[in-house]
Amino acid sequence: MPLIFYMLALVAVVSALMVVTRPNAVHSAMWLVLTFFAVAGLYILQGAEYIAAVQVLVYAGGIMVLFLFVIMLVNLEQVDGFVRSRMRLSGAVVLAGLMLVSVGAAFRLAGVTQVVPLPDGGLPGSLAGPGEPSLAAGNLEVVGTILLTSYLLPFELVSVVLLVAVVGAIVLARREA
Amino acid sequence: MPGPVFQPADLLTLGPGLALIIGAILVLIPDLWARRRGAVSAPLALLFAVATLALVVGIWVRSDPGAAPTAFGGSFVLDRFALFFDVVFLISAILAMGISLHLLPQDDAQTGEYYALILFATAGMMFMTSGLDLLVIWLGLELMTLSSYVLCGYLRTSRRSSEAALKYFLLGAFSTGILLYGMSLIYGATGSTYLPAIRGALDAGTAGGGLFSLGVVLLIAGFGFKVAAVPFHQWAPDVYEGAPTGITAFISTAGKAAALAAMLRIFAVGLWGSQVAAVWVPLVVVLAAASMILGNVTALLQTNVKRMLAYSSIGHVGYILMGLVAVGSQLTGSGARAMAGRGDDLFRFGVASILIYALVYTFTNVGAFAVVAALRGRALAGENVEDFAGLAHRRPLLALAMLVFLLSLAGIPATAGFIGKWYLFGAVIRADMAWLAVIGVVMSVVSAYYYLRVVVAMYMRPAPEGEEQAPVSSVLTATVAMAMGFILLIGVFPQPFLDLASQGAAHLRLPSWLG
Repeated sequence: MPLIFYMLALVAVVSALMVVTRPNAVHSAMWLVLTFFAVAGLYILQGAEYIAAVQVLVYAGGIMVLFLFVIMLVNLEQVDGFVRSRMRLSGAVVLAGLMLVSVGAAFRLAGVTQVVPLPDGGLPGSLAGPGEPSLAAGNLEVVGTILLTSYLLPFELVSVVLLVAVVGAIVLARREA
Repeated sequence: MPGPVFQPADLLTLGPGLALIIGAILVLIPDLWARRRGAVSAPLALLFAVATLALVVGIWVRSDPGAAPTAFGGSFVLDRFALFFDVVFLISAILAMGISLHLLPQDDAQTGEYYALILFATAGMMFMTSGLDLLVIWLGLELMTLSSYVLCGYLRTSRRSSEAALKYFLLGAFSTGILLYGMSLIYGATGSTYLPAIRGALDAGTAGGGLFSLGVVLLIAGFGFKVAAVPFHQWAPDVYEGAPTGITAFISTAGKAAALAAMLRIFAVGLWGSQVAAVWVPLVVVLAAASMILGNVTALLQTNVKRMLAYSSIGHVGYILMGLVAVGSQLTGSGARAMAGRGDDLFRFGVASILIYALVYTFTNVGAFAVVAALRGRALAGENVEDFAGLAHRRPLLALAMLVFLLSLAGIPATAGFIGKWYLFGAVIRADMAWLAVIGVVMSVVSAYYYLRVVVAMYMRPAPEGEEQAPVSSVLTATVAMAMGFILLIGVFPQPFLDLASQGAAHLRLPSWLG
């Protein structure tokens, strides 16, 4: 288990570094996809299948398409005008350092000092209320059950909202006959 | 949210909203083979809206005054409060369709999707009003606003229309984000999105603190954007001016009424407690006063009638928010003192005054926009004050209708607008906040000035020579006549309508589901 964790972590860190160092914006975006997948793998290791699935669907899928759209719309394939000034670089390093320190502090405050393998079957069911399916059953199942019972009406309403989005996009984008 | 969950009978409770969604989907179909786009679908949409209105009225008649059906584990309730607003939305939608049936063929833009989107938006409003769960309310809001963005930009060849849609979309998405953030903070602090459970957490004293208050503030800011209250109003004039006139009429009446209904539901059911009221009541007071003052004063400077009506509608939101202040002040200092020993009276009076104003304002504002639409000619947008010059000689009946709408907007007696304002001002005076009512009255006088400018142009200035007379279709005539008829009816015989509003207000917090 720790071996898989370190491999995924390595992939995530290396690909994230590639994202910020590639001069070609499309290449950066592609490396970002890899980062998203590696992080999704880390989520699965933590027993958070639902977040992993959403990570892949929303970030690696939807958000990525949006990024690529924007890059292609404004023709950003090659950033020539971007000045790699020392000031900008040092500012970025300082910000990244601050981020690292605050994440470390957060872990320390929460009492996390080492990576431990999860107990079999994921996290204990602390989040599940009485009578609800335990989280030990895998949280994808829990989310699915809640979505189709307690939150059935919002779930169905979302489908209507999506329908309106599709109709609206066609209305605004179609060519005049 | 409690409970299990879905019974087939729940679909019946969902009735009106479901009927509109099904209707909207059916309306999308005939354009596939109709010879002329919209020829079948547009009247079909109007038919669905009218049938749903009949359904809503029927449900009201058969409903129990002391109880209301809920569905989906209590997250949806079909009480008389919701039914009253449903009627307002449907009236607004029907009249807006009337305006559009006249205008869209002129732009050669008649399609079924336009009317389907109006139906979708109306369904969204119904879910906003009936939702007892923040998620349902928010999704209803999204359904409404997404449809409205598209409808605003519907005239794609018009720059103004596209600009309106873009502005509405960007600011609307931004404000939705704020609203959702506020809702998530409230969820985080109380552990539920279900309004009665939120209130339970407040009563038990387990909720509170800075993040919760921040959530309430963000909620008000988000709704402030949606109803275009000062200082969240900047998008409104451009959007109202640029959007197709039928849509302007629709979103400035039904859209605002829906947001106000959701606010009432959230604040009077979920966030009802003296501590949380100390956060939101003062904010609503500021919004109300600022909207009344800035909306009406800025309207003085406008020469475009659609823009003038946009600023005036900001002022009218200020009046309506006074009703919310009256409702909430029962929990804070002044109203609590004034209400000692009178129980829920002020609450019901305040809510009823908002209901009646929403109804009155819908007829009045949509009517005024319908007259603007009638003036539209081939060479003429019909939107400037000068375009109204001499209207009384050219088309005396149309001028008379506009006169009635403007007098009602200004709140002159014998029109419905007077009744609406009378009860709103009465509510804040009962809540012992007479100074707010004074601002309202003074600003009504200011508003009378710019409304009368149009009247002066219609009645006292000569018509320009050789002006082209655009024919007014019978459907637009019927729209104007219906709006005018109801304004005079409510203005002269207000009592039946007040009774209905009072019954609706009594249902806002029914013990049967409040627990």
